[in-house]
Amino acid sequence: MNTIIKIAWRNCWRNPLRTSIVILSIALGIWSSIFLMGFSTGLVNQRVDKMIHLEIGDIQIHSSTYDVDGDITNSIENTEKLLQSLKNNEDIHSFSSRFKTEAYAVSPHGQMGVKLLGVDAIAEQQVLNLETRLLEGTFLESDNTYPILVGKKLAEELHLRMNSKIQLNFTDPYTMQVSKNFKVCGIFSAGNEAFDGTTVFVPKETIQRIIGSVPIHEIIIKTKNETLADQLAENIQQKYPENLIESWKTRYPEIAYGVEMMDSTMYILMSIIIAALLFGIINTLTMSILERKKELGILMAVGMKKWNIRLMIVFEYLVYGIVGGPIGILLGYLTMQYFGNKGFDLSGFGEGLESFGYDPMVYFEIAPKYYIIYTLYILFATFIGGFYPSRIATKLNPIEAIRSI
Amino acid sequence: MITFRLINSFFDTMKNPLFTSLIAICFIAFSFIPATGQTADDIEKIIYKAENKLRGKSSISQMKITTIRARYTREMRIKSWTQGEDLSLMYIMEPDRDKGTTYLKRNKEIWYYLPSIERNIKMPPSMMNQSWMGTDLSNDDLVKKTSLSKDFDHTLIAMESISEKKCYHIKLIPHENADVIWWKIELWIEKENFNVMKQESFDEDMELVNTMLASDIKNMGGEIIPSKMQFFPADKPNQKTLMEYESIEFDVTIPSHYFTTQYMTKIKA
Amino acid sequence: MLAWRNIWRNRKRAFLTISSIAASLFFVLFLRQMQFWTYDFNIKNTVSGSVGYLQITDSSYVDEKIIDNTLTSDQIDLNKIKEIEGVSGVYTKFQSGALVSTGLKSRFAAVNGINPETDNKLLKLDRKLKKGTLLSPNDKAILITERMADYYKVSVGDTLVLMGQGYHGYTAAGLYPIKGLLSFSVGDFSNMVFMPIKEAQYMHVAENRFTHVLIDLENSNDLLEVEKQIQKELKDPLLKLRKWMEVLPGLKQGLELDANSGLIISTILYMIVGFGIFGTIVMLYNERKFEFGVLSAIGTGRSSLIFITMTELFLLSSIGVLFGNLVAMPFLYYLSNNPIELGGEAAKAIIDQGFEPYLGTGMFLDVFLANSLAVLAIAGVASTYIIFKLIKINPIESMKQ
Repeated sequence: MNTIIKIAWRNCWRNPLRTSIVILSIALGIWSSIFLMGFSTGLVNQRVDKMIHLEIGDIQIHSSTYDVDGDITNSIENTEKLLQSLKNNEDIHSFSSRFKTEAYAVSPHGQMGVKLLGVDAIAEQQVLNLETRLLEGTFLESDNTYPILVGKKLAEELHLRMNSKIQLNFTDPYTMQVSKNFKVCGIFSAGNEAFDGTTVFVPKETIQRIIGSVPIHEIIIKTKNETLADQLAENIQQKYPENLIESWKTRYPEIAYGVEMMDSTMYILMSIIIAALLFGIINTLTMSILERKKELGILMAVGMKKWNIRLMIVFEYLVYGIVGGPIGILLGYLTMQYFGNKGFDLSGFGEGLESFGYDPMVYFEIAPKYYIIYTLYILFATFIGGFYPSRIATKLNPIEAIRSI
Repeated sequence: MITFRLINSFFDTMKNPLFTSLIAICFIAFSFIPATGQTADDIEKIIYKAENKLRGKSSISQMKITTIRARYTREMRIKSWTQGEDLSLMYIMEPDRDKGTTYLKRNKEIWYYLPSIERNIKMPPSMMNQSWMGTDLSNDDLVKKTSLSKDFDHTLIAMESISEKKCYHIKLIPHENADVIWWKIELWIEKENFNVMKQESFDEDMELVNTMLASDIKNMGGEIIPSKMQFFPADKPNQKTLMEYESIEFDVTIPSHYFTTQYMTKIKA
Repeated sequence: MLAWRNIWRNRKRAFLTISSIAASLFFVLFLRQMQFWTYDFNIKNTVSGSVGYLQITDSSYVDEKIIDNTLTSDQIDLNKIKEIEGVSGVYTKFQSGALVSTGLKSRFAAVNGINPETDNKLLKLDRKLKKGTLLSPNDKAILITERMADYYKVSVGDTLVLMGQGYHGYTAAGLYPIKGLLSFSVGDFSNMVFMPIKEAQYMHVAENRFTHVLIDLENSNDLLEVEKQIQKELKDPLLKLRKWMEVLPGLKQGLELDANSGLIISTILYMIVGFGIFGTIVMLYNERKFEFGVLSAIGTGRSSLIFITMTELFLLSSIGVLFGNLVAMPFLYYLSNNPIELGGEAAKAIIDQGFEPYLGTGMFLDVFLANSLAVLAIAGVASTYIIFKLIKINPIESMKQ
């Protein structure tokens, strides 16, 4: 056995070119799988992350009739009690209760339907990271009596700048029409045109001053552990059946769809790539067997048993795998580190990306398990792929083999 | 007070710009205040008079409204009953296809009656900025009240002539907390009878957004008022709305049941 | 001549090389055709029936989408357009917005005047119908969304008032019974009313007027050509012809994002495939080192050696490329006509979005050509390695085992 191993080892290094080609093929296969996975995961995760952390939160709470009749009177049931229990909930990182109503924003240059959100700036900033996306101004920290935070798209449509006047019109809980001027104290860009164009924030105190009360229509929650959002939402739902408590996946399935779509597509693409890789490896290996016809013939002629030869070849492949594997993993890892920090710049296509909510820079991410998965997958494939060539080896007729050129 | 807005689209309401301006369509009671030596106070008084000329009066009138657009011109004849500022009823007499359409303003509510389908519809707040009957005025213009004398700082710029009438040309800058979207308004108030002859509204960059021009001052129903008013946006030279009073009576008694949704369905004026 | 015989001397070797190249091309073609097909498919899904690949509107309609800016069928010969090669459908549309009210409850909604004969399928209304029945061309009735039905607390059989801005300032108004309820899950469409185009026109005092004329294509590649043809037919200066990317620039960007991610994936595949080809060819040389050494030793000029080998390789590559195309074609053809239907959660979500959950492959000629050339080029580059080696060939070294 030992001899065979030794021979196998030496065989590998006798022809450095062949060996390096095979090893590199394996490494390449592993690296490219990791690259693609990192790319697509990063892309999708960032999109999801952005929405959750900039716009919607992990969990949303509304009254059960809010979606049908988004009326200003449709506030959350048992608000006080609910808020208290949220405060005491250990799995919750932070939450923000919001006043939300449809309003019309008017400026000298136009009008737009918007969603008016009355929030507590501090609580809001704990749940959403919108302050990191401020282009100008502040998140409602202002000396203005009626400050308002608007999105970039809205500012463009209505020709707004810092300190511009914007008039908001909406109906209060007593069906009276309210019309009030606000002053722009900040402009944000969440990277999503729909959000930027229709969402405006004002302080809760202002709402209080204008209509005398602040009915709460929406509560957004940031959980300590995102993966538990679904479970957490269910728990709270059971305790407060009169309200609708949903995790973002339930409320915005189209985001989850994006993830799924990516997954399915990746799956198919990976298959193609691995198939191509496999083919290449089999080809190279078979070629190398042919190349060694003479030598194999001699070995057989001097009495090496067929299965020994097979074993020898198998060992060779093992070597390739053992060397190629780690190289692939290492390259993959380094790539992840590099693009994970610096990001992959897609800004050639930057314009449209913004309106779809994508960032031009993609930061690669990958679940560590994939390193193992892909390596094993490819090594396995290589092993299977090596089967055929080794069969050929054993089918050789020693005499012919020696005679060949 | 009727405020005035220009509307450009019906379908894509969310997206298209609205032009808004405040206009005092005012009917001033005959006044003897001499127009000399203007102090800030005096100017405020002038504006106050202009704004309140016909406030609180009831009226029955007939007017012709012409909507002029690049590709067509449309005329409407309307009969209107108003009681103070909160109640107003308008009935369309011409053109034929729209005849019988009635519009009721009751405090802050607006209702439409459409004879073709024999139904009353309440205008939701979201539609307030939509064009009223296809003109350059919006539903909201007919509802909103503003107070030019109170919410603004006034400065007299000069005495100028508009439609051969001597006018006070006054600049108005809104107060910090006034709920006015304009950054500047310029008024030309006619000296003799305190009619607003011209009003211009400006945006943040002090650019003109729209204009109202009044003319043809006559004695109508006992008051000296302009019988013609034009409204036009600054950026659309082919577009304007023209309002002409054919007849008007003031201080008439109008039965209060006129201003109800039931009555809307029955008018046969 | 010699080259040809050389190739067939060693069957296995030749076969390996050819198959390596053929397989590489096969995979590449598969991937690229799939990507292009998806790109096309996505455009089709979004654009067909709603915006159209091409769109004719009144020139003022572009900026102001009001009924005043509509066109009539007198301004353009629709039949002529239908006859243009590549056009798969010409549809007239009437879209507007109106106040929809029960009298007390009023809300703004979009109004879609449709041609039931074509639009029921085109807009997938047959699939979205949840209650009641679809419209017929002469109906004076409407379809609304389930969401709206919930809001107004109405159902099939109840009536709603529609009021809006008609042509030239006339008030558009009508009282319509609800004939059916549609399920539209995406937020944007939750306030939408469908009615037969005739009735929509009548209601808006805009008989025989349309807001758009949509043109659908068989093949998105024909876009520019068809545009030119249509432009010739458009003699009225008041009309404007636009391509879908002019109407929906955001969509183009979004699709390009997809395409560019696809490019990255293709590059990776090419790397792998290129490597494979390189490996095969290098092994080819290696295997024949001895033979080359002999030939060199007996006096075959270096240049002849190179020439023969190059010819061999060229022939092998060409055959490989040819094979690759031939083998790929039946698969691609099959899939382009019978795309795979995706299942599971992803499929459900896709359908909700209004898309079709299919994955197929295209048969684009330029994809065949471009990639065949690319693979040939790779083989060529790999071959230069051999040339390089041959130039330096030392007969004695190479004959050593």
